[in-house]
Amino acid sequence: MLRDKKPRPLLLIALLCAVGFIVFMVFPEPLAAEISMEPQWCRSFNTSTVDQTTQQALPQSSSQTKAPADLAEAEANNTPIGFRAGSRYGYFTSEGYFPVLATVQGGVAVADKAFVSWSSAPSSPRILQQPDSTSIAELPLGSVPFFSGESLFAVSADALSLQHYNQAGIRLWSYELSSHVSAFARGRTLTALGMLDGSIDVVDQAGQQQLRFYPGGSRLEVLLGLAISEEGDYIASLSGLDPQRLVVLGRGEGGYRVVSHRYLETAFRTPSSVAILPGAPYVVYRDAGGVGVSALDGSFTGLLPADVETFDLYPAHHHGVYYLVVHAGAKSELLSFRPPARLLGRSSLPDNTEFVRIIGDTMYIACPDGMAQIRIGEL
Amino acid sequence: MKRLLIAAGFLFFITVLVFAFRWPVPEIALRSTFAVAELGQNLRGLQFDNQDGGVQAISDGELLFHASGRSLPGNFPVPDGSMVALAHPRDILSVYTGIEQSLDEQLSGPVFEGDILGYSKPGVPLKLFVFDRKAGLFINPLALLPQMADTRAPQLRALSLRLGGADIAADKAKAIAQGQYQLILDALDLLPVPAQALPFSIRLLLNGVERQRLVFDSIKAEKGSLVFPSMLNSQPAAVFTAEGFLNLGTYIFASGSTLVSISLQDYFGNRIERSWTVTVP
Repeated sequence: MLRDKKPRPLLLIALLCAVGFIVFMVFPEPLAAEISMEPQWCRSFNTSTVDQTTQQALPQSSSQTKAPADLAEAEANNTPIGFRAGSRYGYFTSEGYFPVLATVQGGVAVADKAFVSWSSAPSSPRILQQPDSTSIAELPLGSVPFFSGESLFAVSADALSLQHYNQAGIRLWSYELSSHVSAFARGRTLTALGMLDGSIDVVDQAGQQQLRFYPGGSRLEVLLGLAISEEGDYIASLSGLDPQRLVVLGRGEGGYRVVSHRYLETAFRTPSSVAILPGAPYVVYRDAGGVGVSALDGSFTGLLPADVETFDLYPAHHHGVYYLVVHAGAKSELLSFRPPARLLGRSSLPDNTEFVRIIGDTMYIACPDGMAQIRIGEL
Repeated sequence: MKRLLIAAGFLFFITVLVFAFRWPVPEIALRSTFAVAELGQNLRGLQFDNQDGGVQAISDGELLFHASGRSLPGNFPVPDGSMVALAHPRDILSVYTGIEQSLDEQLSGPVFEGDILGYSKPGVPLKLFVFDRKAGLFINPLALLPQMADTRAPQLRALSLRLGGADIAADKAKAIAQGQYQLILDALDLLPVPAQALPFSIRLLLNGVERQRLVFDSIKAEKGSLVFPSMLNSQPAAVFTAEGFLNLGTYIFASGSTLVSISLQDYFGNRIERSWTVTVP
C-alpha cells in the first residue's frame, strides 16, 4: 500500500531561512543615509554698504572655521570663486572673504577667472575684467556675455547670433543661429545648441557646424534639454511634445548615431535639465515625479523622486557619488545618489536660493541676503 | 537657382495668403522692422515699444515653449528675460521675447488668436519673430500682419561707388577710373508709424540688366552664416556695411557709359525708381 507523501513544512521553512541568511550575509545592502549639513560660516551681504565694486576683504566672523585641507584645487589654492545671487555678484574665498562684492547695475556674467558687468543702457560697454577689476578686453556693444564653466560666450540682443571668446577676450568664432535656442550644453571642445525648431546644432572649437540633427518622432518638435559629455562622445536630448522623447546620440567612426531613445510620459514646455554623468554611463533628466536616470545605451531606467524643473549635477568628492541640486520655483533641494539610481540622502535648501556651487563635499549657497559654506556629510 | 527662387517666392506668397495674423500689440508701437541693422545685427522680426501693454497671440496655435529668468540650463541667456513660442498650423512658429508672462503649466496647450500671453516690461523692447520651420527661415512678419495704410514711396537717399575705402556719389560719377566698384545704397522706407524700416525689395539694373535683387521677405542661417534667400546675386559677403548701408555687390565699370538703375518698393506696393549714368573716360 502506497503511503501518501505529506509536505514537510518545517524542512521548507528551514531551507528558506538558510537561503535568506546566505543572501543577507553575502549581499548586504546598507540602509540609505541622510545627508548631514554642517554650516561652516555664513555672511550677510549687508554687513557693509556696497554700491560699487569693492576691493576690500570683509571682516571674519567669530564663527568662521577653516576650510578642510582636502578640498578641490580651487579651494586649496584659495582661488576666489565667482558668484551672482540676486542683485549681488562678486568673488569669495573658501574662508569667507569677499575680495569683490558689488551690486548688479544692468547685467553681469561671472566666472572664477573673469567677469563682465554692464549697465542697462544699450551703449554701455561690456568690459571683460579679471576678478581684481583689471580690464582684459571690450566685447561688442549690445551683446549679452555669459560664461559656460570658464568658457566665455556672448549672444546678440535677440539671442540669434553666438560668439565664443578666449580668456583674452579675443573672438574665436561667430555663429548665426538658425532659430532661437531653447537648450544649451558645452563640452570641452564642442558646443551643443538645441533649437525651438527641434534641431540640434553641434559646433566645434573652430566655429564649424559638426552636426545638425533633428530628433523628431513627436507631433511638435522642440528641444527642451540638452547635454554633451565632456569629450563630446555622447549627446543626450529631451525633445518634442506628444510624445516627449529622450534621445542619446553616440559618436562612432562615421559620426553620431542614435544609441538609445525612449518615449516619456511628460509634456514639459519649459526648460528642462539633462546631464550626462562624468565617469558613469548614465544620463539624468527631468522626468515626471523626479529626476529620471537612464543608461546611455537604454538598458536601465530609474527615478530619483523630487519636485524638479531644472537641476545642476556635481560629482561628490568621494568616488561614485553625485550631488543633484534640484530647483522647482523658489524651492531647491540637495540630493545625493550613487548611480544608477540609489538615493543616498536629501536635504531641503532655503527658499529663494539663488546660487549653489559644490566643490568636493563643500557647498556654497547664497540667497539675496547672504552666503553660507556648508559641509555635506552622511549621518 | 532661379527655380529655387521661384519656389521660395511661391511658398512665401502661399503662406501670406493662407495666414492672416493679427498684430500682437497696436501697430503704433512698432519701432524697428525686419532686417534693419542695429549694432551689427539684422533684426529677424519686429521690435515694439509697447510700454506695459498686453501682448496677444497673433494667431491660433499651441504653446510650444516658454522660459523666463536670466538663463536656460547651461547659462545661455533668455532673450530680454523671457521667451514664449507658439506653434501654428503648417509648421509656422511665432516667438515673443521681452514680456512678463502670464502663462504657466496649467495654461499650456491651445492658444487662440488674441489671447493675452503676457505684458510688456517697461524699458524692455518687445520682439516678435515668425519662423517657418519647414523652410527653416524667419519670415518678415510685416508681410503677414494686417497692412497699415501707406501711400508714401521708399526714400532713396544716396547711391555710392566705393573703391579702396573712398566713396563717389553716383550723381557725380561722370569721369571715374576704370575698376571694380562696390555699390553702396542708403535707402529706407517711411512707415505711417515712427519705425525704422527698409524697402521691401531693392533691384539694381546695369544697362537694363538686373544684376541684383534683394527682397526682405525672409532671413535664414545656414551652417552658422546669415543668408537672404531671396537675394539674386549672393556675391557680397555682407549685405550691410559697417555703417548700416546696403552693399549691393561689386561690379566692373569699364570704359564707356553705364546706366545704373535702382528700383525700390515697400510692403504696400509703393515704388520709386532712379537712374544714373556712370562714365569711364
